Amino acid sequence: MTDSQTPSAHVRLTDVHKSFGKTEVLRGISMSVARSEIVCLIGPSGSGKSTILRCINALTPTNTGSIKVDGIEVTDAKLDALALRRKVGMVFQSYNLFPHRTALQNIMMAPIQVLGEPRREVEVRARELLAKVRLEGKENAYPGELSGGQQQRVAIARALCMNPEVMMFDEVTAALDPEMVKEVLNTIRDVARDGMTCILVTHEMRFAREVANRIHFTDKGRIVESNTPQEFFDHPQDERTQAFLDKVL
Amino acid sequence: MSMVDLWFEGLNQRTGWNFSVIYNAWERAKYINGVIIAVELAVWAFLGSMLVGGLCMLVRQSRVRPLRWLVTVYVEFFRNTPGLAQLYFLFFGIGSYFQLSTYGPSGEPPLLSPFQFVVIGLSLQYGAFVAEILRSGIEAVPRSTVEAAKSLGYNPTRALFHVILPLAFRTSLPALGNNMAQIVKSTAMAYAIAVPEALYVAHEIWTEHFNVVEMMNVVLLTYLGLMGVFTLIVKLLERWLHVPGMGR
Amino acid sequence: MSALTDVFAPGSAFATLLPWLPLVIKGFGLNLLISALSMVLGLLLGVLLGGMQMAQTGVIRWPARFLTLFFRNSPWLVIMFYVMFLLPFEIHLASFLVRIPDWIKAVLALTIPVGGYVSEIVRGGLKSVPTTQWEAAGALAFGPVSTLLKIILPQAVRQMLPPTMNLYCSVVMATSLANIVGVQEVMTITQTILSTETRPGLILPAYGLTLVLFFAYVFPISLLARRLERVWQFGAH
Repeated sequence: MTDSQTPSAHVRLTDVHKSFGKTEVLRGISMSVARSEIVCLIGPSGSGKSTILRCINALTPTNTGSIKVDGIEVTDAKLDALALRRKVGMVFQSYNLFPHRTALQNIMMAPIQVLGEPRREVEVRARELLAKVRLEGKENAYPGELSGGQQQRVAIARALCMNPEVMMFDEVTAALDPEMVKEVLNTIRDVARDGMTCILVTHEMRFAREVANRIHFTDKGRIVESNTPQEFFDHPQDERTQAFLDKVL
Repeated sequence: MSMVDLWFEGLNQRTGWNFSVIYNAWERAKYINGVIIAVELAVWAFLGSMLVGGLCMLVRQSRVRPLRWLVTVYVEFFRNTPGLAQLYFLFFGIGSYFQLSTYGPSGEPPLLSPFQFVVIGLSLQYGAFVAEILRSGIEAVPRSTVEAAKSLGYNPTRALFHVILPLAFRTSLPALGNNMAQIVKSTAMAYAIAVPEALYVAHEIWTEHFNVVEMMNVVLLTYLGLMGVFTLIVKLLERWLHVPGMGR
Repeated sequence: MSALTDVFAPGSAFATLLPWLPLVIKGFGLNLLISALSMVLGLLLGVLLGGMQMAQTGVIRWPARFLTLFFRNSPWLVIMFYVMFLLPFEIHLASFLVRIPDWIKAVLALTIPVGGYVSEIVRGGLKSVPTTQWEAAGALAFGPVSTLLKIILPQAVRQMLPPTMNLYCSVVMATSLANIVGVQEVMTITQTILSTETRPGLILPAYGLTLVLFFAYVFPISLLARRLERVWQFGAH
């Protein structure tokens, strides 16, 4: 059931609170992401950015508040997790891939085993995705044989193979050596250009500025400031935003 | 074979070193049978321990806390008590109480043979170790790998079967191999309830010929040889399952 | 429920066993004594072998490696038989006749595998200390033995303590094997009691008691070892 007064958002968070024991990590997060919109979450460590992503795909349960993904209420007790995770794909910072399977098998596994799609079709799609992330020829390589950047690109292809509507990237370049960051960012740029709704948690400021439609700044569990990249970087409103940008830029 | 026999008989006459187990056909057959029994004990006990340990691992995944607690009690009890005491408790205690190891009123053979008791005892004892090995193997799977599986839509059961267990098993292989070696060493304990394995047969031979030193050396070499063979098998298994880039 | 109270009633198994308890405890005391002595001797042997395994020259290293593997891979019961039967029960030292009681033989028998395991623990512990420590010590003119004793070992000890404690638990449990070769430890005493009392209902509680005794002693040590390992946070072995 969508709120008829606001435009239908693809992903909408409303006053989400999350505490781990006594520590309150999310103190009332509200944000919405429109279809094909690219949103970046930026902020200091521990401000709750990753937690927001994990709440969206129900990896972490929330305490109060509502999260809606294309009509699916994530906070519902009777949530159909599979339906949700078909719509939302996620790529993590490290140790993503299944080390005991080849790159191609990694990409193909979930559609076959979870969705029950026929192997032939999935293989065709998987090979296309592998080519799209520019890793043709690496079908039979094991993750242990791939560089960090290559692994992340396979991880992105793997998430894409489930045909999601939303892609979430949780600091996916943070653990990479600098020379590999670019190739992964290029891949993300391609995914964004294809019209995918994307939510990124990232420290790559230049990339955020270039690719994002909106940037949200989080600090201590709250969204402090939201703006277009231009306004955000050039004219930060809040002093906390200013302080953070001074430190990182 | 007879050349070797003659040489050892000659050795006996010349030096007094009596390796009767080699040149005496009857003893040789009996000893080899003993070795085979020791191997059978080890293999069955290994399979049994994997079964028990695997069962514990599955039960530990359940949400029912008393069940998980039960497994913990079992594991701690069998890890912290001596195998021999467990065997005696099983064979002499439970065996006679439930009439499993006793002969029937008109001389019917017992329901469970000493061999089977040893297998059950070792399975229970080492099943506890396997349960712990599998537990740390599962814990060693990085959290983000598990979360990646969840994000792809794997429910807990599917994730366990397709992702967690294959990885946990590979991580556990060295420890499982060590477990096998321990089991092989423990089969000697079957001596205590008169299972005719290698040590027991050796004992029979040396009480007859008084060639304790020779027999002890033979037994020692036998067990070292068995350990070597099993270690090799495990190493081959590790190599077969090895995935490039994985492992220590 | 009445079955439960029956357990403690007079004439029951519990009541029959109770007067034997001091003897059983005394037997268990022998187990503990054997375990303590063989642990101490085994530590000495193991530290020696372990140190030798880390030697630069192969002439020292290889025999030590061989012995370590040999001691670790032999079944403890077989070693016990070996020592029991091959050590004389008395030896002549100068003009003294020294009796070697069975339980001392058990101590010596257990010393051997302990030595093998400690040797590996020591080797693992020494390896865990970064080689830069050796280089720094050498630069400060410490000789190899000094370096080992004063610089490397103190750091390695943390790594070595939990596995050593687990080893001790194994040794305590292994002392029960001495029963098979006739030492008057707790299992043997239990068997003697059972053959004296001849009540069939006594077997389970009697052996159960031995299990409880071992558990009560070994479990806390095992827990402590695990806690130390967690607190000191040493990685996967």
